[in-house]
Amino acid sequence: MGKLVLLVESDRKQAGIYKDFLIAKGYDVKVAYSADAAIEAADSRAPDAVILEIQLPEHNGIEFLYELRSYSDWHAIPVIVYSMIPPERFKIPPDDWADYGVRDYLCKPRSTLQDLDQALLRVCRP
Amino acid sequence: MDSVTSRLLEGMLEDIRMSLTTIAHAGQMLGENGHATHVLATETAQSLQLLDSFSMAAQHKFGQQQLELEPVALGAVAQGAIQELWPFAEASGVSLELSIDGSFSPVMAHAAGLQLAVQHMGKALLEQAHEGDHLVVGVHRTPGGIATGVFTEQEVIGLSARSLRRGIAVIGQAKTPFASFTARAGSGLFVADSLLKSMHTKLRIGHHQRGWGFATTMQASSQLALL
Repeated sequence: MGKLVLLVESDRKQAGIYKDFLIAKGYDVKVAYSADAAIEAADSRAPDAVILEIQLPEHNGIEFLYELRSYSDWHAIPVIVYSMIPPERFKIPPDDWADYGVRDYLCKPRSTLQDLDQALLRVCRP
Repeated sequence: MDSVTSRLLEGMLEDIRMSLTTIAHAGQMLGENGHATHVLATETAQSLQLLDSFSMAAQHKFGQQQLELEPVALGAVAQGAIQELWPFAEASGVSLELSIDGSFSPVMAHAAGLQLAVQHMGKALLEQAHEGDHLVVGVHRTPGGIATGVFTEQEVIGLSARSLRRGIAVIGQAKTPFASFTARAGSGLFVADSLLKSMHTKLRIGHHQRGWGFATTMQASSQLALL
């Protein structure tokens, strides 16, 4: 069983692409289409890493980060933000990212799947 | 533009941005070999950058409102622009060079907007460049201030201040307002000019060393120079 990546992504087409990509790279992948579903998934089996879109329905990715950090068991889980929102519009300043477990921030339109792979390898090898 | 149209436009830009990103990433799953997948990657990246620039320019009413200005190192802008232009240049077989003639105090500008403007200058020249051509992303001092832009030593037919101003004036009215050097609509140059106007400067034709191209000139802040 490979390392488990929790992919939090509400767009089903993008989720399908990223899931296939990550599986091809050797990871187990659990997809959650909302922040609430992501918390449930993490509760069921703690992931080794989280790839998180900020733009989510109902509760957004930032609220998910707050909730993730509220559980001491999940403090060590690294988060890669992989979002349509550019980093300059992310409400958490870079100096505070570590407090929320955010290890990297990739803007999807400005990055490639290889960038995502490299960012994930830096925090979690399959 | 009324507020309803403006909101619709913003919404459409976001939807198109999302679709292009999905297409780009789906294309990357097809594999890294082949001209078609490379074209897919560069065309979607180019469209996404144009959307980003257009969105920024539209939010500031195409030059009529000021962007938030901050001290910006032009060398860093040129460096960032060359990194973004690299995939497009590589796809065209064109070489790029960074040329910073001297050391310069920061200027008051909008870093992201300025870099996007320089990138659009580069893409306009790349569209007419041939394999083996060489472009320079340069920063140099002029009598009017510090110039930043993208330049070529190759002849670019129609590259003149007059054709630039005329092209910008007829954007949306002529199918190819910059017909002398691009078969496309040239909207990137219009957007670059709008972004620069929001920083109290504009797009112009300039020269750097032995090359000519697109540039903008800004004043170094005398107060920043003292810091």
